[in-house]
Amino acid sequence: MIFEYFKMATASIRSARFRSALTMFGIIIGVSSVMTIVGLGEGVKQQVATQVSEISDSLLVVRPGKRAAPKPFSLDSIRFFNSATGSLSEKDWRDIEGVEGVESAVPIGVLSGVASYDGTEYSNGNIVASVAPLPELLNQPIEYGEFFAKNHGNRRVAVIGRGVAEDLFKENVPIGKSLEIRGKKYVVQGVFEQQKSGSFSVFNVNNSIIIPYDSVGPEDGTVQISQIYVEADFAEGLPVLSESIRQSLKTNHAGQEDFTILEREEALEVTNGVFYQLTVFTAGVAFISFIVGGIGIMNIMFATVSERKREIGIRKAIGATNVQILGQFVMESIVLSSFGAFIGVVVSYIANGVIRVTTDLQPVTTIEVIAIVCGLSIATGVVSGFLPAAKAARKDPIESLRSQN
Amino acid sequence: MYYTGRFMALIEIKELTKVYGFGDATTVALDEVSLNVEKGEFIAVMGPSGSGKTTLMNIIGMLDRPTHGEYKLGSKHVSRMGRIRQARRRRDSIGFIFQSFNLLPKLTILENVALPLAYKGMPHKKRMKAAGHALEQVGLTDKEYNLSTQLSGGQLQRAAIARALVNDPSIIIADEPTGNLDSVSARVVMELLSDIHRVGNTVLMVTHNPSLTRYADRIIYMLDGSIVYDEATAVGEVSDRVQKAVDSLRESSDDDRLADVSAMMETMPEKVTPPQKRKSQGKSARPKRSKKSRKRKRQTK
Repeated sequence: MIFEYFKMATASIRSARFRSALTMFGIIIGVSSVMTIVGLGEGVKQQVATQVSEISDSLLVVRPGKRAAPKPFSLDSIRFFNSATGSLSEKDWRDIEGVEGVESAVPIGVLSGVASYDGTEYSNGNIVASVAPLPELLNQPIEYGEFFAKNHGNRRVAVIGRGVAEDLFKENVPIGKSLEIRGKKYVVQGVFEQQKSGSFSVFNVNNSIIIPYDSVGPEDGTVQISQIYVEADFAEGLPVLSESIRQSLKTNHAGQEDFTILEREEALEVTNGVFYQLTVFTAGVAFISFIVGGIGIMNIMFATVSERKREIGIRKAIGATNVQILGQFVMESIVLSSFGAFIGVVVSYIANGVIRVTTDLQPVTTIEVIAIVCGLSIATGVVSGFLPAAKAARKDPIESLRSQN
Repeated sequence: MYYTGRFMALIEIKELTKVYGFGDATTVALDEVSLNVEKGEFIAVMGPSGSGKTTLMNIIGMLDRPTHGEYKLGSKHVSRMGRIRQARRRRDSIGFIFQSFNLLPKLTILENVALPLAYKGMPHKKRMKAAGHALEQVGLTDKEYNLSTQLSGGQLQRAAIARALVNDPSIIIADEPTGNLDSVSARVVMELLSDIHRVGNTVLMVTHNPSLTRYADRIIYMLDGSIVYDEATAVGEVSDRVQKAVDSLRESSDDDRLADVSAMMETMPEKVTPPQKRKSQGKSARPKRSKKSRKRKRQTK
């Protein structure tokens, strides 16, 4: 009988194609936006996971600010690390280098200023003061040239990202050319490879200019240390090492613990966590279109039921039970919503394809998401079709037969 | 079991009453009607508009429920059944033929005819075959895959007859089957109904046209919710008596032999309520079988 309902439903949907298409629109938008957004989140998560497996597992990250107890879905958790800057100093970094068990400590010092070359300014980049072995810690290889050595001193050199080379120098390998920061010339001696998306690094290497930490003098402005990467001698000792760094920094900070030490996974957790919450939030907004779509279906089903009074009367007269009438109309609603979901899935695949081609994000559509979305749309169909169908089933056959339509 | 003569009574109706509306708007559509129908009869039900013919047909066809009274179909108390069982019973035992054909416009003729079987749960192939056979009986084999919009009125009514027959029902209820047809098509349809009757089917036909009584072997005349005339006639006889009875009943109805017609109807110049008025009353005052209306009925008695 269910197959019969299905056939009846498709027949009556076919006979009102334009209206059905409009009705499905809400569901199509809901499904495609939920799937695309969740796909993006999932994609980033997987990319980050791939990145993390590539980087050293003996890595600690020291960030300024105290990590608050995770408060999900609050604004606090999103802006946590962004707002807290400045609590790490050069002394902290030097002290960490001195802690036993530390192989190397690399600061990410953000310098305010604009780089220029040949009179053109490059304003949308970061100037980062750092030391070796930054590329190794970020798992970010150099394509041309080389990074400056650890005992490089204060000679003014720079290693730049792909974007800087292309946008500022308008060439692929501007090695030997010099750019100007605050009136001082820095000679380019290396160009990074294009940074993979979802990289472990908190800053975008592509538009960054890395200069040796020691080349920045007091007259060049303050260097804000946004984080310090610490490579341990051996991975097993991380908890102990983390504790000794904590003690060392606490002494520097007069007993205050206004910094956070994260292990590799924890550091990612923060990035992922923020992204996850954004995903959930946006997906939640997109789910609202399911409700809107459901209401659209319910509306059109009510209209259909009162338009097809006579049909209902005829069907009842030739022996359809109330349950059979109910089944027919609920099925019609389910077909509308699930066909809408199907189109939505197709649309999201197309959207994901476009995103893959045009950006460096890699959206991933999982079977679970498709299953959830399809289940949800069928549920929407049942819920929004039930009331109109019940109305149809309750119709008095005599009155319905007498009606004009 | 209840036997009359050779036949078992297919339909037994005892003191069936149907009241519409409440309070002052109460209308008695059927007033303690009793009727037995035997298998194989072709009954022509006549009477002016508003006399209760259609209400009686609707109750026999289980589209409507009586306010009180007893209705047995094939020795089963139909009026006491639940809605689902009634619907199934309707599907299996009743074939409806309407004045306005009532085929579904989105389905082909074949699918229309097969629809009662679909509700029975018969597999697709089997029921298409059965529907094809039914269409063959009414001579519409070449129209199987047409939509109803492509057929003439006479063809539509023949398709509707095929749909009524496809389930092999115990009664065929035809409510003015020729009302929307020209005389030629009407004749074809009536001959078809006559053929159906001849092979042993029971037919209940409502009609306004006295000349159609020639196809019937029993004539019932209704007035103001009661059966006032019920007689067997020979098939093929154009009944002058019916015509006379129709005329005389119309004239004599003024002397109010039917004392239990509702008070409202008495105030009207004619016993016969105008059709529109009657319809709108029935529509607006829909809630049936309410305690109030029952009470009202008792008071009018």
